[in-house]
Amino acid sequence: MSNISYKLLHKLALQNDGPSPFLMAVLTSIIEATTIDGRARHGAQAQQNLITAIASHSYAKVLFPLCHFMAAGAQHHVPLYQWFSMPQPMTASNIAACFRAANNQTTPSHSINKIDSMVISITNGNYIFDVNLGHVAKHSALLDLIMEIIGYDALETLYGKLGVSQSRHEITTVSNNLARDIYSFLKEHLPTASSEKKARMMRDFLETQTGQMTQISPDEIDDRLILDFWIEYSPDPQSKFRLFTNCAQSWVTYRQAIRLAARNRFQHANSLEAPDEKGRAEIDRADQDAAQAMYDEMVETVDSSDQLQQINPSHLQTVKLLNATEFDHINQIVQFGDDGQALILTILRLATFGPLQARLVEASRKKTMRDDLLADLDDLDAYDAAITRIETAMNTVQGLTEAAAFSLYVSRAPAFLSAALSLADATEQTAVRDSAAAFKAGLTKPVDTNQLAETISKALLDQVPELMPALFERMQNARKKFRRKGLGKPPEAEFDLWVTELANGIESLRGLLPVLGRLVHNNTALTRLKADHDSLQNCFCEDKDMFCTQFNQIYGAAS
Amino acid sequence: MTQKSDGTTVGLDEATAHFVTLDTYKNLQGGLGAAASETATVITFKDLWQAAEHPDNNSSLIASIQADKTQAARFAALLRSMAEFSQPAQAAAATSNIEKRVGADFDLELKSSSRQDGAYFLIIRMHKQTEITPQHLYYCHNNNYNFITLSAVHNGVSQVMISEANPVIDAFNDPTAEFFIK
Amino acid sequence: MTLPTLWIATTRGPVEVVSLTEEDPEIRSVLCLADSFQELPISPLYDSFVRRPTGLIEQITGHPSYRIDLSGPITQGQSWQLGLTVAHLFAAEAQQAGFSPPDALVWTTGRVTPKGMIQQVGEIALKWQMTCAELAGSSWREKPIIVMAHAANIAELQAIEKSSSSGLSITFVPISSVSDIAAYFGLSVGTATAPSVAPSMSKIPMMVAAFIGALAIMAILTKLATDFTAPLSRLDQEGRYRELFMEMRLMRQEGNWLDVNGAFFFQKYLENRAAGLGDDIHIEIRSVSEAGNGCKDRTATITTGTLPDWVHQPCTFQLSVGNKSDRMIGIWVAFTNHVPASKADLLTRNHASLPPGQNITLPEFTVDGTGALKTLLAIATPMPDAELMPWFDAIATARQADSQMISRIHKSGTGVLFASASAAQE
Repeated sequence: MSNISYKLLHKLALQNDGPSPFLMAVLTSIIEATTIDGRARHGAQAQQNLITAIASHSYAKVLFPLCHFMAAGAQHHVPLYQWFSMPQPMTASNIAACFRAANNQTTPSHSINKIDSMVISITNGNYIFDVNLGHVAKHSALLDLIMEIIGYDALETLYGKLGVSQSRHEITTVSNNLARDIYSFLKEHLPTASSEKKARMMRDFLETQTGQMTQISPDEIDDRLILDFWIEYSPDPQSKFRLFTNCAQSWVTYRQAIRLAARNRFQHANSLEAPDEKGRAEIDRADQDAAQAMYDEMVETVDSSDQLQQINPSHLQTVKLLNATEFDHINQIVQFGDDGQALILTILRLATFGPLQARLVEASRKKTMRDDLLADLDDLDAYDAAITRIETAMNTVQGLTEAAAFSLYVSRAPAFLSAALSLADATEQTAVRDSAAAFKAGLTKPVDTNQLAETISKALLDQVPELMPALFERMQNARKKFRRKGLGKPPEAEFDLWVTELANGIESLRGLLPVLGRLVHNNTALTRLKADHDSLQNCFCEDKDMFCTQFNQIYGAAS
Repeated sequence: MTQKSDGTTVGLDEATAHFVTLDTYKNLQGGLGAAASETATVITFKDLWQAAEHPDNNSSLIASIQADKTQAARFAALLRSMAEFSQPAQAAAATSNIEKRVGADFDLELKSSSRQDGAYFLIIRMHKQTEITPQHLYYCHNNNYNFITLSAVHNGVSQVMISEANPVIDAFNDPTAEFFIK
Repeated sequence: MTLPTLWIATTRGPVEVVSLTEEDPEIRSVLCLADSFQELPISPLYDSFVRRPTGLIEQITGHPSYRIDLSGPITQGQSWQLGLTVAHLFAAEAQQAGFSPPDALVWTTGRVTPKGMIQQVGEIALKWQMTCAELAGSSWREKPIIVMAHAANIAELQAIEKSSSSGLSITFVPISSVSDIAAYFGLSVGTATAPSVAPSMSKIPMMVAAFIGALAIMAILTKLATDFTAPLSRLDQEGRYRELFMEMRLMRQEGNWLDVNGAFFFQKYLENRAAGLGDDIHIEIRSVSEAGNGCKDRTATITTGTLPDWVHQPCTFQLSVGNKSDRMIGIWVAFTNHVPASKADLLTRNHASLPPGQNITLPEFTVDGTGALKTLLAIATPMPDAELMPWFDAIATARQADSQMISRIHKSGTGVLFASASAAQE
């Protein structure tokens, strides 16, 4: 079976949909913004919070404290541009330093009651309010987006208004206006009509499937439902579910959405009005918790994909851990996240029929329908092969981790030790720590900390076969088995880059192991499928008939 | 059956709403990983700041900014905000000496070279001291912003030699033009 | 003006002085690339080299501002000073009749002190090497070359020529002062480069003064006084008050009897002029009547330090200024509202150049009724006012007339009027 890039499939699904190029350019610019010394302007959480706020339209509650922050800045005569051209990252302490510098230079008409590390209190006439600089730092990327949406000229006018505001109401007005501006902007540049349409179709289908039940659990979205849904909606040329890949991924997202909703901590911005004073503290806490929960949930889902991107063969320079085929295959699996265990059959279907559909799409575009496109489906053990490939992928990831660690060991790079500790078992970890402790205990005079670390590192490297025998053996075996670019002798040039890519690669590969492990090990569904070979073959045959029928309906008869 | 099944149920509508959010989130995340060639080229605040701080090295960027009405207005606001000194438009009635533009922050004077070869000297006399070293004279003429790099300031005076073709001469003679120093 | 072919040695090859132009004294001296308007970064150094009190050139030529066009850039160092000094000497000499520049290439390198002494410089070998390379393809190779520098540098060059002759027709001229340059070329300017403004008493033929008689003595003394104060007059006419005050202080502290008296009488002249200017200008303030706000048409002429009480009313006002003298006067006027614990609000700041007998009305301004103190400041001068502006601005928003600053303005021969009005305490 030839290898079709699943990226292509995803792109095909995203035609005429999703965020506008302008929005993506602006977001990329914000997220990749650096300070003068090359550090990221926004922290990882600020970047995530920006995407979350946009996706969920939950920016209104964030704008309210941000407007208070701008009011404080304006009242202390900090020029607006200074917040957007800070030579340091937007952390709470750096923002506080700006306020302290401004406080020293001017005599503000509205005093700062106190500036501690995270919170400043402002008194403005009868209105006293706090500005939580930690909160501002966590949403600094959203502040940049506001700037890009409404422009420096308009924002400066608002900044001036905030600077002379005397009441909470005035700040609320500005905050609401900003929220409306962002909403209008996103309506144009981040249309959700497509997602909403998909969601409605899926919702309606669920309703019919569950017999008009209004409640849903993740378990009700199973392999059967996904396949039935695809069969029903794929013939429609306007449908976003023509590709089985897209269909499967959308249902995985729906399962994740159910779990997210079940936490009951995320609140949609149904109203653009700011909260009343009584509930503000509680909503603020809930908002932060919800944002964190959403962040955790999304990160858990997306994190594996992000991990995988770290070892994208097209991004690395000195090593090639996974080849393109392996990369695409594993990428497809990790998209399922923890739902892969429940949807193992869907994974097998995707792995088997997905590439075929991609070829059919290409042939259809080029109007070169070939008769032999379905020939690859003659193997009755296709699902067995797919399971084997999944297990192989898991073993490959494990093996590459150990082979990469062995390369670091051979080069005697200190980075090996932290990588090895993460791969070693508990006994070996204890042995290493004990050895280091014993070394330190044996010192007879004070030693420079860096020098000590270096000495301990060298001593441990010498003792690796004794301290971590099982790991060492695994590493040696893995090195023999996996011959990839960069796994071997250290390069003469770009040594530091090589070490970095290997160390990061080990960490990324390790990050994939839990997801793959849960799919492969102790997965009763998979175990059941493997145990009954005939049943698996029958399942494949049935699926083959269904898919071929459907493909004929979608793309026309092959012969 | 999922190993993590916990019998959790939610309303269909609620789940659907969350799906829209998650789907949008994934679209955004997926888009951010796209190749650079697939994204549009936009002028952001960072570009405006670079152009304002280092106009000598960003003449083509400034031209791009000026060509976009929206960005030009934003750039103008940023320049005004960053200006250490400014000289608003001259009141025509108060201008009795066309060789000199008078302002609260600084005066401008234009004198032609005695060599009469088209060289002029633009003399800037600043009335106030500042902690920062003035680097550029900006001016807004016919809704376009241009700049001149200032020479070293001695006793509050900076002088720049320009050709008769320099657009600052037209701006100088136009009472409605505005000048800034930063 | 005709200059000889003059090359200034640099480590990147010789640079030719293409032209030298006298500029308006208000313009700082510049060095620029010929055929472009690209000013060289060392222009401020050149300006200091030209303009008093640090500059040597103005002492020699009497003019404070020049533009020199060069064939190439000079980026650093001070060895260009000798070459430009030579250029200025020739330019000044060329203004006199009967001068023709030498038919030779003049090659120079050297530093020149403010007292006109020549000092040696470095990298002679590299500079000469670059010059020889330039001459290889030039028609000047066949012509006489005058090499002018400090004796030590001349010795270096002679040693280089001795070891590997360039085959050029070179005349080495070691010099130790600007006077040596003038003497070598037979120039009349530059023969005395000390910053003396008074001829020695010994040069005055006492016998002649004694024989001519009392009237002749008075005439000569008057002429001498005029000569002594000529530099002061020039500084006054050019509005260069900082330098004027420094010159007068030097004359009083370090000069001879005539210097001291010259400075004294010139100061008196300036102060009398300042007082006279106060009488020569006419300043009027008018309240413009407006229906509904109680503002009436009222006018007052400001002659003392007091403004009328009605300037505190929230009305529209107008200032008129006039020139009662028979000469052109430049007048600066500022009106300020002072609000307690706040920055002074400069309501109007205007300038007018008035021919004799002319009156003009300045734009209206509005007083909003806040502020318990109003001040008016006016200065008048027949001279360029650029250096007066910092002083003007310093006291335009002051609550009280700073006596030191007022005195300084007065001593520059500029008329000053500071008037104020305080609102009665409620």
